[in-house]
Amino acid sequence: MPSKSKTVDAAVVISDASPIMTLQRIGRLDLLTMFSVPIHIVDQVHWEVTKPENDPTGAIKATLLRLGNQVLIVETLTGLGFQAKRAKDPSTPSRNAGELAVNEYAITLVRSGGPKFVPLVFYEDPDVEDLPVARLKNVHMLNTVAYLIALHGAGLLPEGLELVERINALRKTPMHPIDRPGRTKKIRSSWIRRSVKDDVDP
Amino acid sequence: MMSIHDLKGLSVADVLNLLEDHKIGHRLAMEYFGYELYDDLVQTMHANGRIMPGHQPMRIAPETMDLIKQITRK
Repeated sequence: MPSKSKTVDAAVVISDASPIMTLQRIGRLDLLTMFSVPIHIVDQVHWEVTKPENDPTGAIKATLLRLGNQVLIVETLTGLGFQAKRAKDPSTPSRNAGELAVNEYAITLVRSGGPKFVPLVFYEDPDVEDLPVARLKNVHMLNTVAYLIALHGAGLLPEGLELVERINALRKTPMHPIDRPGRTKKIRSSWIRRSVKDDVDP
Repeated sequence: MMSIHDLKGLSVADVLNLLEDHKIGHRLAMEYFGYELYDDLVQTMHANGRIMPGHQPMRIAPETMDLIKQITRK
């Protein structure tokens, strides 16, 4: 693929709730550590993934704690607003507040970062693709299945394709891998690099 | 000719680029993704906003195009 754009690594991973819960369902939360950059989890997503209904055993909360400074929990206006509303009425539904918080934080990062700063949004729900952040040129969009397939392809996760089958067995419709690099005239983002010994330039 | 070994370390986006640019065939791409069905590969290409090499985008009827022009005033 001849390209004049420079490849830059995604600077930070912003995870939605669904990839974390999916990895938990297949017992592979450890795979979050395969990202080589920090994972930022917005407050609303953190609340969703650790609330007792979604994390009855506390495994997600414990894993995120164990990851230490690899994971950063970030405050958002969406998350703060939801918690304020919930304080008044505990039955307030969260609906898509997690995705909105991801959208808010990712856009804030892009606007405050330089032209080579590309955040990676790690997601599953197709609704995320309708959010403004998904239309920004310098945002990398990656879903769980694309993550596992690439790790398998790199030889880092031999059971990667089996894990994809397990995930799809839990779903009504199979999840297709989505990996859309951030792309501007000057840069193209990547989250995985092949060995320097390899000679194919995609 | 490329083999599955040549795709080692490439991301999904990289492999889709190679397929779109006719640098690899659909069989090799299917092997990378672990697909048995060609349709799964086509769906993955579409889900990533791409079309299969040799395929044409769906034709838009002239009446529809006229309607779009009226709506967008182009």
